[in-house]
Amino acid sequence: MKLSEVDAVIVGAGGGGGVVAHELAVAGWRVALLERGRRQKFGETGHDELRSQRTTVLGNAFGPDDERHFRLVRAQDGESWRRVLPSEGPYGNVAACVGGGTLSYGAMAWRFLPQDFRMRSTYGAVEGSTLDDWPVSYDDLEPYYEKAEWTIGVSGKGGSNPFEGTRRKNYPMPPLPLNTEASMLAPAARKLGWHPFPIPMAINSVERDGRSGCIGCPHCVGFACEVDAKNSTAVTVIPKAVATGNCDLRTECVVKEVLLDATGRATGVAYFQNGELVEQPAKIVVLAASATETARLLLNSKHKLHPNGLGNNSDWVGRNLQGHAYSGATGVFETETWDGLGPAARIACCDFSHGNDGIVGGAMLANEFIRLPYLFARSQHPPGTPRWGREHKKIQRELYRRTTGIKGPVQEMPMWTSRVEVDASARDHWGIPVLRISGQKHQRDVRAGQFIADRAAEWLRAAGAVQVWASVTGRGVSGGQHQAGTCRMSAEKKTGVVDASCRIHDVDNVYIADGSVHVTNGGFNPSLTIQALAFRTSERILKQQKI
Amino acid sequence: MGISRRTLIAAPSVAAAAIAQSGMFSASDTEWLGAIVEQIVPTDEFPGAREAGVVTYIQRQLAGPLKRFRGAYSKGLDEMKKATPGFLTLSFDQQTAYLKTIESTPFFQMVADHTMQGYYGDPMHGGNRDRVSWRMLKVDKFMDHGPWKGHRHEAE
Repeated sequence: MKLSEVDAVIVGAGGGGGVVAHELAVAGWRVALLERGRRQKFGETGHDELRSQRTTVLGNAFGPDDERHFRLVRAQDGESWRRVLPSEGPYGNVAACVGGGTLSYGAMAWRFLPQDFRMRSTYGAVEGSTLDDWPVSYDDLEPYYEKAEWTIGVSGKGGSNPFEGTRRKNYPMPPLPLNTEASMLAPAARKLGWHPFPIPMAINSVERDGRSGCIGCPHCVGFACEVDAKNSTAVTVIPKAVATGNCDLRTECVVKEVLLDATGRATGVAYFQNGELVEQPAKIVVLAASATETARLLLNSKHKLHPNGLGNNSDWVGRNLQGHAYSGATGVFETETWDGLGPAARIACCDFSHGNDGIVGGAMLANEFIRLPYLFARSQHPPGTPRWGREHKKIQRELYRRTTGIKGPVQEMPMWTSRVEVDASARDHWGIPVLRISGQKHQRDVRAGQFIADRAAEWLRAAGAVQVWASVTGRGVSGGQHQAGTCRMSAEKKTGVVDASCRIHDVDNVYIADGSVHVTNGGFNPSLTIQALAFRTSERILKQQKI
Repeated sequence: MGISRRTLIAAPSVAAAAIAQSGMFSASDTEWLGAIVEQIVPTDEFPGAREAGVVTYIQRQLAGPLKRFRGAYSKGLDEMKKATPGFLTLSFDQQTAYLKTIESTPFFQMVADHTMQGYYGDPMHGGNRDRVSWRMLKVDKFMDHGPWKGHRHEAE
């Protein structure tokens, strides 16, 4: 079936795609917004830990399903490939539903720091890494961070983070109040000479935009918000885009490839809906399907002018897959630290994001988001204690409310060999070539992770923890919820996939609006940066393209 | 005796085949698994995994999202029945001592993981009967579905 042409087709109704749909629809463009997942409501999944985005042991509540999807990951022998399901960790899933990752994310809304855009200039070359500067600076992006904070809705305290770059405007909402952990950790950090501040959150601290303020339930990350106080694109920009009458949101549409004409230019996309192959012609194509799936789409869009896949004439598509080398520490306290007031993550500091001796980059440190009974039982007991039996149950009971975790998303050194490709023979439910993932983290990430874990432990001890243990990243390849880097932004065609407008170097009408374009991924949760870039890219599209 | 030695030996593998095909436990499987999960989360002042319905949890998930583990259950139970036919007659502490000798096997680690899921997860999946683990952790008011009943609401 071939549909009539739209001005723009956007693949992926997540954090980035939702923003672009809004901006183009408001400008009067006719937009088709395609999402492989469904619209989801809180009541479908509630607070069920075992299907949450946090544990997924009984499947991904927010998609994709285990029945129709799989990927291949490099097996330990370094030769063969192992099949993994979306609910299994190595799949590196983010989410597949309207709102994408933002429906179930924790909603930390960070601006990267100025140095995060200039890693090569700040630290020099790093052996074995493709570390580089972004072709855009913090100052270039600052107005779009502001736009994202005010359009999406972020609560926070402007000026409270002394390491942040120039900020012209405060947050639209005051910060959420401190909980027990944050009230205990803030003075401890100050005692150490550090600079703690309330975490900026894309969560309504007060009623805003027709939606409730946060009710303080402890289920933020991993779950949808029962009162829509969490500002996912599913409750903010996407409904507004649809309300213009210009945006057609189509769910359960699995895009196969970008369609190309004889000159190699994009003419739309082909997708499967209800078993039927549909062609959606469009003047402009915007890919916002996540760092893994956007790369897969490009690699699956072959043409005589793009023999290795669209945008891949310099062999950068799918490379530099990165996430964060999370590291931190857990502490046991004599008194209860967990008060059930969510979001639990309330306090952070950026004293160790940069300028650490012998370390390239670093991480923001924050107290842990959420405590779930199964997850706690499996992964948060003190090291060396029994994994089952009477003693395990006793520890579970005695420590659940007396432990506190602090960790940081350690900035990774991008690796040319950490990558996604499409497999030559494996096919998914729709017959589309399947992704395969290989590579590992840089040795330096482990060193940085150890440093950050030591600082987390120091913070916990200063706050009175009586027992502290560290957790340091391994070298397994990243991806997952913070996946980035696979379609690098670059000034030169030879050293990346998209230009500074996030338009593919090789063709003039395909743009990317997700974490794929990140040259480096900062030492922060990346969603606000993805969204700020999406606002900027939308503005570029409206300037560069005639409809 | 109405039952031959030959039948007795064959019994475990017949039961095992049933799990592999349908995900259904025989009465013997249920008894064995009940004893194992009870070791993983034993009864103390709070009910243990058997009373909390963890075998029901595992049974139900093997018919659904965890069906890929059916073969591992049938093989693991089969092997354990062969290796230690008297397990059910051992004292609690003797059973603990035996399980410690196999605690690093993939079978035991799988059962331990699924037991924690069933005991600490949502009762809707068949385990955590009467929200026993949530009450033990004093988090029951935070964990339920629907309109949240946390302390802000309580204060109102």
